[in-house]
Amino acid sequence: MTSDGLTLLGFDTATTACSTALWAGGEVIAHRRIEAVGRHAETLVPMLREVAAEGNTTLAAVDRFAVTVGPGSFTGIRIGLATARGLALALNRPLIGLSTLEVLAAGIPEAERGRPILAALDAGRGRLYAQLFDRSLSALSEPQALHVEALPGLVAAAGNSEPVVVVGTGQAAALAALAPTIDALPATGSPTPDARVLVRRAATLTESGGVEGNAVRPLYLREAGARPRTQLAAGGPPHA
Amino acid sequence: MIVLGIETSCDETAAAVVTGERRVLSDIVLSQCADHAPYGGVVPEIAARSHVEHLDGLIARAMEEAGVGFTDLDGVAATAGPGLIGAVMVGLMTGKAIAAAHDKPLLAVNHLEGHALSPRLIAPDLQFPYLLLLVSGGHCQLLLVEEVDSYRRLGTTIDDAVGEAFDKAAMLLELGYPGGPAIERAAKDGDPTRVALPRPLLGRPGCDFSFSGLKTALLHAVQAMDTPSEGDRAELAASFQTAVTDVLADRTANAIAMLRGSNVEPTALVVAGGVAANSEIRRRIEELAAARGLVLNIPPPRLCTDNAAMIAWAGIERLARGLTDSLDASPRARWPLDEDAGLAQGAGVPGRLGRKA
Repeated sequence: MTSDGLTLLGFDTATTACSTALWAGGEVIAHRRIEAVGRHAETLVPMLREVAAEGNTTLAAVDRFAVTVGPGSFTGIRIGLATARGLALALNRPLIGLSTLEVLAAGIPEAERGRPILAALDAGRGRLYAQLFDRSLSALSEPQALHVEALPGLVAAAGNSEPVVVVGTGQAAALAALAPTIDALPATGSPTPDARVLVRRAATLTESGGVEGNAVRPLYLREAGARPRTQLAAGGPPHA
Repeated sequence: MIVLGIETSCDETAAAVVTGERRVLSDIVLSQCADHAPYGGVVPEIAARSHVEHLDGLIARAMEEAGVGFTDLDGVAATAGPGLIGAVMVGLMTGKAIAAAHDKPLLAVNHLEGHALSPRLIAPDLQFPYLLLLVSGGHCQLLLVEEVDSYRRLGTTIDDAVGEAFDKAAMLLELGYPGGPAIERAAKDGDPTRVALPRPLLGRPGCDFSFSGLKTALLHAVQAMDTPSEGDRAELAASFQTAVTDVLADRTANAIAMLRGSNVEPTALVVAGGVAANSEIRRRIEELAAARGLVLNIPPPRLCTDNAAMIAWAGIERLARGLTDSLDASPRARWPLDEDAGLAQGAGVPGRLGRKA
């Protein structure tokens, strides 16, 4: 199957936005995006139907689904994944899961892709979800949750000595942290994932056979945060 | 009529396929109990993570066991609350996706309505109105079930749910989790009269419940013993279980009297929820029903604890009455069956799992 003939519906609810895009005939033919903090669960499924209808198709006629798997809001990740896995199951279609950080990196305009890309999402309390990619979007580091101060270490550990561009809601914090040691510039891509980028990337990967067999599971990057009672009593560290 | 039911409101991931002729074609429950045991209670984030990991596979199995395809369904029923909101969302979103994929009606079911209507799945003759004592890990209520979608709350807990009280008591007595079965096991060898524990609200008018004072009294009783022996703990467990049972029987008797006082004759007394599995509670409620001349209906344990067959059945009852939901239905952490009832008089700080109903 070539990407020209592929109909692919993708969506993202992992951060503050709720976005959906329909890929058909080698391009995005319909999309929606709204800021939907606290309303993802209500907004998503009607939006999927609207976008499908706008593209003169139905959910049942879609060949593949794509979804962001995180990192991001735990609840947001699950809203997207539960919906995607439900659609894939009900229609017996393949599902492609991509990380929010990869989608952010893929969203940088072509003209700004001259450098390695650092995708960084604000994870709250001085922390970031971050990952470094090369110009062709191959990962140079694992996605990870880390304190802002640890960011130069991540870039150095990836063996990267080149100047980087930074994208994502963590852009300002990342640039400030990198400034003393690493030449870093802001990129102009969307600071939160966008389904148009997701479906384009998913279509590209489908064509190159790069998604077969990928298990579509949440990428939380953080533990559930509870402590067993024995550790509570002992004042021990959080359950790892 | 064939409906797929999905339940993820707490720590059970469940899927079932049920027909309008009351045939349960499949009924699968995956308990996360072991995942939460180290914490002495349900951890919401762990529950939500486990649901999203397992739910689609569970639904696939339920459909396969039932021998039906998604296109054969007449509707998709998913619990939309009350419960742990992150957990509820997983089931509701999956249900919406399946409904949208095949243009089937969505039934966004109230988990409490699932419990309330569950006896009708096995007792076709059970007519409205009936009195429901709902006792579970998250709930403790007396309701008049007037019709599908029509409930009158007669009483509810002003603090802890009864199952939550059992969990906390079991934790104090170091009997393990979940607390209900652990207390019942330990209580078998104990004299329920040896430790004096209070019966909150007993003999007072109304049908509300309170368990937090009882739990505190148990704590003090435990502290008064230096290191309780196994025998001591059996006696404490038996005394606690009997105190809870006394309260449940007293409040249920009040509810029957209250209904009859307003010329409402319930067709039956129904006990549902996981705590209905406790044999001491069953025995006392049986006595009460017999003394008051009421038919008693306690669904089998499998239908009393959280399950998806009851959600599918509530979906069938709602679908039959045209009570379908749109795809923008909201998941709800708190969702009382009787929206007009408000909070119970004297309601204090909600328990650890929050106020749900």
